[in-house]
Amino acid sequence: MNCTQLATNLLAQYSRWERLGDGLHRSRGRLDLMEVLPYLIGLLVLGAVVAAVLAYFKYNDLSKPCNDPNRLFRELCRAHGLDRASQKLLWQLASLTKLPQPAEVFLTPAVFEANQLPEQLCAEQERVRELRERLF
Amino acid sequence: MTAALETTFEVLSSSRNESVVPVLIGALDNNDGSVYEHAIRALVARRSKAGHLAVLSRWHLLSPQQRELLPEGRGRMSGALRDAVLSDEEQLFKNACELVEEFTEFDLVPTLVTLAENKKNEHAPAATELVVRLVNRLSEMTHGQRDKKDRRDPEAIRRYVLESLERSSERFRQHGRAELIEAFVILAGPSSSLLRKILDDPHHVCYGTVVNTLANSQSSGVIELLISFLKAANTSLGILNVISRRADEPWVERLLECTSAEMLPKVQKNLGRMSAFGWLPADGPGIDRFSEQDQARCVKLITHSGMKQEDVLAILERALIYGKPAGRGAACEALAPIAGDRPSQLVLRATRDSDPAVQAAATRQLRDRHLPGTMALLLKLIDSPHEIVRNASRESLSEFSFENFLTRFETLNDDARRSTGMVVQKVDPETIPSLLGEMENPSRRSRMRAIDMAEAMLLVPQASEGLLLLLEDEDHLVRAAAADALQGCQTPEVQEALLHATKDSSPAVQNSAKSSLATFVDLPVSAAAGGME
Repeated sequence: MNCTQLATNLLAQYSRWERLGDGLHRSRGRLDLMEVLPYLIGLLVLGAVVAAVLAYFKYNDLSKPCNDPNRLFRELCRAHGLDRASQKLLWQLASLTKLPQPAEVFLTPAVFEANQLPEQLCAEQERVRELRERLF
Repeated sequence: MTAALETTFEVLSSSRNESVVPVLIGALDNNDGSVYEHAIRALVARRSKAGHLAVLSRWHLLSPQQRELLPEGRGRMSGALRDAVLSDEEQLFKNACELVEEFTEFDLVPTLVTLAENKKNEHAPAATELVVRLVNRLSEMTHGQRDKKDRRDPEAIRRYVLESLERSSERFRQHGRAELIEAFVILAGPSSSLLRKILDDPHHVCYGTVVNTLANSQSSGVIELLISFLKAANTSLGILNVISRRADEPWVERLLECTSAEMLPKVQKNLGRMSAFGWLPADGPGIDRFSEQDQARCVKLITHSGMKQEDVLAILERALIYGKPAGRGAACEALAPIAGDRPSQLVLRATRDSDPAVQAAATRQLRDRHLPGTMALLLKLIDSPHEIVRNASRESLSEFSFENFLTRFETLNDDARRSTGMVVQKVDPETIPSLLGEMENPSRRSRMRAIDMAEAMLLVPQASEGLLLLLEDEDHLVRAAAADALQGCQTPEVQEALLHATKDSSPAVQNSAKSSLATFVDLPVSAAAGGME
């Protein structure tokens, strides 16, 4: 088929040209938000989970170079396999004895001495003694 | 230390959290004993300048055991050491200097040189001393034995340190620190262009200091530098003067060591330009104080030097009289090229030396000196109980060989034949085998001559075996001569052979045999010979 014949055919169907944009008309193509919402919520939840997982890994990844006293404290707690309660007690001990850094508690046996314990921790004397034995 | 504390320190040593450093420094302040030591170890292991400085500031307080923990951080602590050296804090500076020397931290030499050049800095004198000590250590590393554990390349370090010292030498006019110039000379080899430039220019601001260092420094670097100048061509007279004047023990020891090997032509040439050695006076007891081997080396050195002959002779005389055997031997050999009455008398004296090697050295020189009584002395020395002396004497009388005697025998008269023959048989140990060989010569004339030689040298008994064979010779004249000569060996075998010769086909032989037998008066067979007659 040559060009002249093709042009003749197109011109012959001129009457159909006006229906060509019907599919794009506002009234025919409206998007319904309610239909998409579940997908959006799913995406947001997925994003939140991924962010949480990443944050969790970042929080627990102690191998990266940093200058973070709290992280060092956690690194030491993890190396000694301390549970959450022991960690909390050790943190309290470090804070109440005003050690410059919480991790210093791992190298300062003197703060575990019963006669030097802060008043707030007198009740925890036994647990402190146990911790001392465990760390030194 | 408990397992728990070990766990703590494992974390503190390996953690990449910089918060560890203040924790460990805090542990140094609050603890003693093993926690303290582990804190030091962990701080040293970490790459933290603040941690290293904390340890450095406590160096003076550490026990010897605790100090041994620090070498593990060698190399890592350079930054902290640099800061400490530049610190105004007196104790920290002192500690850093001690540690720099302990670690031989040559990387810090440029910093120390800069500090030393600063006249206003109160640490400058201490820094200067430290530079000199470090440079001496480096020189020992370069020229002496290396610590096998130390993997550093001394030559590379030398180039690095030398660069800063060269720059300092160029600034000498400003800082005026002679010690830094001395350090430069210690490390600069003979190839240093700056050193050559200074030595070529007596007006150079560093010239006096450099020459003074070359004359006095006992550093192995300076000593090796002087030795390399001695081995170099076109060494300036100024340097040779320094070499000849130096008299300190390490230098003399190295110089003598240098002469023990084959002496290079350049060394000989340079030695020839030296007219004296400060450590070896011609008129004093210089050579006696050295070991046996060194006495011989001294002799070698002075004979190659440009010393006056009378001074050399005085030293050789002293060596010959008071020296040890090797020294006396070397001195005696050194006398060989020196003509004159005094050396000749010394050589004669040496022939009576207690050491056979010295006697031999003297014996070899006797003929060339043409002294009266030499022949008699040499003939006497041929009978020496020492083989080396006998050989030396034979060597001196080598012209008295059997070969020469054989060639000239027919030109000599009877007296000369006898006297020379006596000498030949003493000098040439091959006389008898050669004589016997000559008796087997195909030439009749040679065989006849051999019989005459045996008689002239009174060697008939020793040559009887050959003469007995000649009794069977095809030539009747030879048989007759042999029969005649055999009267000089009165043994039963000879008598038996002569008896047999009386039945020879030649009347001349018969007559000779009979006349020889007639001399065998004491032997029973002679009666039988008479009977036959």
